[in-house]
Amino acid sequence: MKVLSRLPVLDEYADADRCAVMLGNDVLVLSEIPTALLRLLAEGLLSLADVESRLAADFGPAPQGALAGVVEQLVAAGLLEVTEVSA
Amino acid sequence: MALGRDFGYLSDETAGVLPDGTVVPYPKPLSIIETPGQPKVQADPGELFGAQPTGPFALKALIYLSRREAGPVEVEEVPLLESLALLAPQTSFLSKLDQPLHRLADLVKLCGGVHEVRYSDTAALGPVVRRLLEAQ
Repeated sequence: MKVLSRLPVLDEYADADRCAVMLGNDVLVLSEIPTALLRLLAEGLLSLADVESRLAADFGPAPQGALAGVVEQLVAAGLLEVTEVSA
Repeated sequence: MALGRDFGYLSDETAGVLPDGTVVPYPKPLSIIETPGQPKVQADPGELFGAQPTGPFALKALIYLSRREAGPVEVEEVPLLESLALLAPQTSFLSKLDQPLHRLADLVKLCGGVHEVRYSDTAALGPVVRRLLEAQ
């Protein structure tokens, strides 16, 4: 089972449904879905399946592979960590 | 240089901004390219702009100047989050501050947002900057 967790940032600034995060000297502006995903993980670790179902409850079902793409980008940006754990 | 003549010169490239919006000037000599390929010439701001303004100085507008090859002056208001991403690389030691994005956002809101001004002719900047200042 894949478990998602947030990695620390220098600062995070929210504006309505979006946010900006600062890592090192870089500032990234996140759109609604990645922002919602990070907010979910502020509560603690969540499995990928849980994240998917909770995002689907707010935004509707995502196209096939869309969430994996978002997660991949957040991992690449240094905002997220994915850990494989045994169920 | 055009703006320095129209409004007064506080700095060529660096100024301190306190949390309340007070600007701390750094009126260093200007480094000017007079002959391409040759070392820059250091110019005295007093000779270029005349008497220097006296403070205190308050931040009133945040204008991001983008020079381009040709075309008329264009002014665009930058959304808040995008303005943070735009200003952060231009802000020295931002990451050393406590809650840097919040500090920057407070200044952006204090000034009524960030405007990006794209221009090719420096002579056209004065009226645009004056209008943005007067709008605050």
